[in-house]
Amino acid sequence: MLKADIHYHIPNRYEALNYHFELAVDRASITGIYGISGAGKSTLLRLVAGLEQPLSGYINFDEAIWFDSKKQIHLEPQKRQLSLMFPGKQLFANMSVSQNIEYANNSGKSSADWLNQFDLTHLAQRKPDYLSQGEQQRVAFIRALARKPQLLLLDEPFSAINEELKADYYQTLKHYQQEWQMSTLIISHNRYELNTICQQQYQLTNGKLIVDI
Amino acid sequence: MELYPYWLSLKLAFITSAILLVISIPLAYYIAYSKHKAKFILEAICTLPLVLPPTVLGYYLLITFSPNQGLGAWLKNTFDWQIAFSFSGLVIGSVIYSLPFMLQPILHGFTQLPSTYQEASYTLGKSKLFTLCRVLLPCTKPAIITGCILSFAHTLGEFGVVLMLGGHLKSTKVVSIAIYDEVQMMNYSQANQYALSLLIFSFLTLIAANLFKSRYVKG
Repeated sequence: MLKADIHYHIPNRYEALNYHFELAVDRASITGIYGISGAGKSTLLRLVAGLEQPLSGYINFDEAIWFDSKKQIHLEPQKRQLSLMFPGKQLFANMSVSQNIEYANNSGKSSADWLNQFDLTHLAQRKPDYLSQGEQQRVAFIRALARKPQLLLLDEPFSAINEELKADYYQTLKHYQQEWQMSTLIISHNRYELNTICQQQYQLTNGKLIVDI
Repeated sequence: MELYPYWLSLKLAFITSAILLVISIPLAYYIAYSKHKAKFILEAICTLPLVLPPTVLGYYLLITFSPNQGLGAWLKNTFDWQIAFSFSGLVIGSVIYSLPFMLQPILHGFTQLPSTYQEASYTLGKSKLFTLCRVLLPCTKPAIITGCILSFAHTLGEFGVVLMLGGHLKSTKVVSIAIYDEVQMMNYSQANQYALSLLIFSFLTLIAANLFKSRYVKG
């Protein structure tokens, strides 16, 4: 399970932004985060991933210490058993869809099987520049999932996907949540989405996380 | 007309470009991605040869490596290696002089890449070196090729540094010097032959390299 209590500060030239994030995500559970644009949701994910370093506090995952300001520990992202799906461009332009999925594939399933599962086999040899935004997003989701992470971090993962297809992705997430006992932290503007898949939700306001019952 | 200057010019351009390729990639990586506060000083040093008159550079290299004093004398006495007035001196001078022509395109190539490439790779568990080799470098291939073309062409045309550091020896008489010599001796037809052939060769090299880049290397 993920437990974190961190302070962070962005020395923005326009305003000082202070954050205090306190959250817990159980093993094999999906936690949602929502809030207005610019509230700091992506920042939270980046801090948990290790791409930014908090000012103080701790981030623990099970027995592993990912960050502890008192013990001066900051584990680099590579060593944390997670994967992060970003909003926007993230597929590697020099590799095909299939190669992108194979990049960190740790799931035991081949990229061909993954693509087949989502009816995306016809995209296997295509380079990311020749995919639509929705297709890019779906492939990026598969790539993050294929790593078989203990913690999956998703930043607006389904925003460009058709409503009819979304159900498949919710199903997949829930499936691997059970099979791999994987924890998920998902950011979304879509409250319906979060209500459908999450066991708990937080609202991010004024730099703080509020538990949503 | 001697053909040896052609051989020397090509040899100098190839060796210089090869050395620059090897040094510029780690340098560009550091300047592009390091968060060190003083890195702008390093960047300025690497850009200096662009604004420095070649004869100034050649002069300081001559002083540094002159076999009559300091470093140059020590090298000569210890290793019997004389850098001033030798081909290896030209290589050192060319590498410094053409550095910005290899470094700038590669640096630009790196900074153009979305930061999500590295971040995605790291969060997928891949090391910095793995990311550099499997993602960053393949994506900057056009920039690397541009750097190679520019530094090669630039070295071919080098004159000021060679004039200061090369002396008047057969082993350092590249085509640009040969042209100068022939003009001094008023052998204008010889000078023209050298000049025209260098012009045509450079032009054809640039066309061929750009064609290769646009057809076979996807950006």
